[in-house]
Amino acid sequence: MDTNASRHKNDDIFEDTYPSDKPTIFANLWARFAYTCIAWLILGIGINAGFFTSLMLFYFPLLMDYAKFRPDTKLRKNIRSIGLWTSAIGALEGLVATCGLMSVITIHGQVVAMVSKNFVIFAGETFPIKYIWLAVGVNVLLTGIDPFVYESKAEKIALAKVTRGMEG
Amino acid sequence: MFATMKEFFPVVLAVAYASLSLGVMIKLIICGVRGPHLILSFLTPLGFFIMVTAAVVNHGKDLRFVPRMRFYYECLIGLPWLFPTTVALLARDLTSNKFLISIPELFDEIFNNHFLNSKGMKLS
Repeated sequence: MDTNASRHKNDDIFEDTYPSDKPTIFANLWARFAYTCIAWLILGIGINAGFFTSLMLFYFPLLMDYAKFRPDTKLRKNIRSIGLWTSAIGALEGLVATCGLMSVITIHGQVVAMVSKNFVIFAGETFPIKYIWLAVGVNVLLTGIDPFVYESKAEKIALAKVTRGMEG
Repeated sequence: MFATMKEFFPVVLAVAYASLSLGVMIKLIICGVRGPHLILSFLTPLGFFIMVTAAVVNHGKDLRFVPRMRFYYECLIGLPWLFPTTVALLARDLTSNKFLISIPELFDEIFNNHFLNSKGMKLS
């Protein structure tokens, strides 16, 4: 199958069906970095039985955000792939845990995640939930890197202007 | 386990700072900077924050309340985008044979002539 042909076909469908909305100031990579940091902070506050639901609710919008765009440079494509896969794994983890695979319990004052006693492997095993919370940091890290790995039009203009000024 | 906000807020802050530093490092590498100069990437977010705060406070202090609030709002939205540009300028400075211009001067140039001008807020 010709990949380019199918890609063009998809682009046509996109142009024909999508509303001609313009992005607002909040549809940018810095805003995503800011709200991801805040969401990660909130995710860690008062961890209780609803942690995995919150985890799923953290990852799904991020996953959708990565899935919506197709970067044009190789580096951004790689970053997007890492972000997409880690978000998908996180969202899936949240989903299966919410379905009853894992629960949050407190043992000796420490909040831990426990694998369901009915599950086929690691039944009843526990591990500190902070490892999951810290793992979410990888995605926060990625959202912070994203705004740097491409050259915006404004950046090209400013660079050209300043360079001309410097060279006199 | 992190029990209070006081315990895990530094972790969030550290990860956010590390992510910006990594971003700066990648940008510097893309722009052709190699070797020990890359250590600068760990100081650049702090340096940029100080420059931005100084520039914003300096330009905003003479404005009246409503224009000042508008100015702060525009800065909040627009200034993060000057960060990658400033890093690219820094990279250009580091990779050129001669030292062209100081970074605060470069920042002042893009802040004054590019950012404020584009917002119609250039101060005389």
